[in-house]
Amino acid sequence: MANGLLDKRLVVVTGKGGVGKSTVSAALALCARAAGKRVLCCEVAARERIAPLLGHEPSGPVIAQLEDDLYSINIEAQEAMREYALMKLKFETIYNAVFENRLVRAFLRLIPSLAETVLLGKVWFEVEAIDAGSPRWDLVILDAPATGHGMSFLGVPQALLDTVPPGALRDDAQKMYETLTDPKKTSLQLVTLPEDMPVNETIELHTQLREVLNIPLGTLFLNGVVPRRFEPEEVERLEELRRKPSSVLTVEQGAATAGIYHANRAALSEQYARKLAVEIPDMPLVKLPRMYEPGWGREQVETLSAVINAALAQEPA
Amino acid sequence: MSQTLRELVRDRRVIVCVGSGGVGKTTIAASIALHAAMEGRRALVVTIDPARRLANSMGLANLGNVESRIGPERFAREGLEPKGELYALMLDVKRTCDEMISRHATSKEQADKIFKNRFYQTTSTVLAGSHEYMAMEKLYELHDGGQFDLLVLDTPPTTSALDFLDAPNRLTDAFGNDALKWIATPAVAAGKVSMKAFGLGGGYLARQISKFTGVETLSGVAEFLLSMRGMYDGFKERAAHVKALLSSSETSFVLITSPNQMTIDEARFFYRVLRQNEAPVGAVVVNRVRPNWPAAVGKPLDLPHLSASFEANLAERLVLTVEEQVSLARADGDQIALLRDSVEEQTLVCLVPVLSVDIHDLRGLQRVARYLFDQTGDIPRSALPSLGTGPS
Repeated sequence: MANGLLDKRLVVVTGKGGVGKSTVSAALALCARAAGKRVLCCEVAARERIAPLLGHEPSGPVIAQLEDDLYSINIEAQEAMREYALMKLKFETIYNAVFENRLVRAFLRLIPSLAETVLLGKVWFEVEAIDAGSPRWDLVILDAPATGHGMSFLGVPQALLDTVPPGALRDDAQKMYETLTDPKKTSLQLVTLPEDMPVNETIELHTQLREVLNIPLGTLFLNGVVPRRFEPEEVERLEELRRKPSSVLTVEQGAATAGIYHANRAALSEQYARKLAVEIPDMPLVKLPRMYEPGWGREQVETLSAVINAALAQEPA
Repeated sequence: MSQTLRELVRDRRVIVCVGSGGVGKTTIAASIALHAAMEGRRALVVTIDPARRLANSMGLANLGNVESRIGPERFAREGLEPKGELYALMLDVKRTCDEMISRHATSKEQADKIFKNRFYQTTSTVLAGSHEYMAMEKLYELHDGGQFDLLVLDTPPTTSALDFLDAPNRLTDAFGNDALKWIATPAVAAGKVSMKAFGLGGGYLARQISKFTGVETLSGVAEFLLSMRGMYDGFKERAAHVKALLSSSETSFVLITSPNQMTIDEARFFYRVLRQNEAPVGAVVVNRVRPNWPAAVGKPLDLPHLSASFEANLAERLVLTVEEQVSLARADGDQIALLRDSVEEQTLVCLVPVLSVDIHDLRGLQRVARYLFDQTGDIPRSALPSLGTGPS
């Protein structure tokens, strides 16, 4: 298995918007479950994606079982805050007295990094949770957006360590930081597409992650790959056909345009796979195929999961 | 009253582009601004996270928070003749926040003290709502300045439309509480946490709260808030103005999405949130729509039709390719119809097809603008889903 990806305790899947993080996360969950693991999938999203991708109703902000050994949660700041506070304050009456107080809530809402802290804290808490002597989860998968928010999301423990004086919050930040930066426990995957902006952003993100965050890096997934289907001479011919002046769009031109589009995508897939191999040599590259079914659901996720299993099996340990 | 997109862009002063990450918001926002400039307006596009090459082509590479004109020579180089003017600005969140503090501070000393505060340095990019709020702050400042006919704002990719609309609320809620001033007192800052401010009273509760945050953290935050004393009213007023601007008749929201199942689901959700918050949504743009070539040609592109022009093996591969693309195009059509049914009749739905090259210069933006505003380009309208009745 590559980097023992499935043997970690926390697998983070990140990348810019629209690259397929949720589908890769869902597919990894199925891989892990097939390997006998008890899995929790976490996301932090306005609209939940993972449970629906696996063919289930959304889980909401509380951990819900989807199937045997497969659970998910859409972590929500307010709920995570409540749980964290309850852990610390022990008594619900006190929690209510303090946190349902609108002044306190207004005050806490003013500090968004606090919300990000509790979100990450919730994930960390589940990673470290022990029930009856053994870990509650074999693997926690976190689908984490890498917008400015996502990076700051993962960088929160470090920011807290830089900012917060000694005390309860700092102790927790320290523990979170240790889990996140432990290569035996945590692995961060990147997902990208064979397109200009996603690839360039992924390269930048990789640099930031490596230089700033110290989070151990795992696999780079190149999603939506189109394999070559037409030879260069054929593409040339198709392009000639398309260029021919015509008052109406002909059958040949329609077909030629479709073929050229495919050939372009295939060329970009090859080009960007090469570029990523050069610019990000420390992360094994796994290619995931473009799929043509009308929707994204369980069947497509299972196909992806099979591709990932095959790819992971091929890599050196 | 329905309008075309041309009319919308001609008549408004502010266009806010919202939507999920990765759908091409920056490109669409820049195209809208370019179109306005071509048509004679003085337009500014405020971007957050532009692609390097697009940034370079718009002269944005090494700028701070200052608007830069994309000069006529740059247009001429690409064969374009604008009747108006195009400006661009790349939002620097931290700098905008610093400027906001400087503007509201009662003295330079107060501003400096805030800038030095540890909490400020770490959280200044996330103060009261992060990128979203700073984008709003910048928008307000530009609108107030009155220098531009049209401001097009490209918002940060956001996990929640609510973050964006909620940002001014967070400030007004927090600073709207007179009692927050009780927190920002020297006593709390000194570590003598006074729970009277919370209306809770008693040392026991103070100890409970300190278990949660660490009393030093609480006093640190109190000190931070204390350093901003006197600025609250200014923040409040500003936030109220921003809210008013966002719901005024001068402003229109353009919701941008791509046709895939998950982004359409999010777009429908964002649309509901926007409408619940009384934000005026002028148009929904579906970007990267896959074309249906048999539909464009008006004939099936199957083996019998293609065998006349291509040898068997090539014809088979072309047929497979067309079938794959038709499958995607049909799926897109279904998602677009779902979206169309979810928005009000007077909201425009505009389609932009997927283009085979990345957009990284003015000419590319102009191609996108022609699809957006004129429904013309290399890919014929007949290749895209029809939108039924209503303005398109």
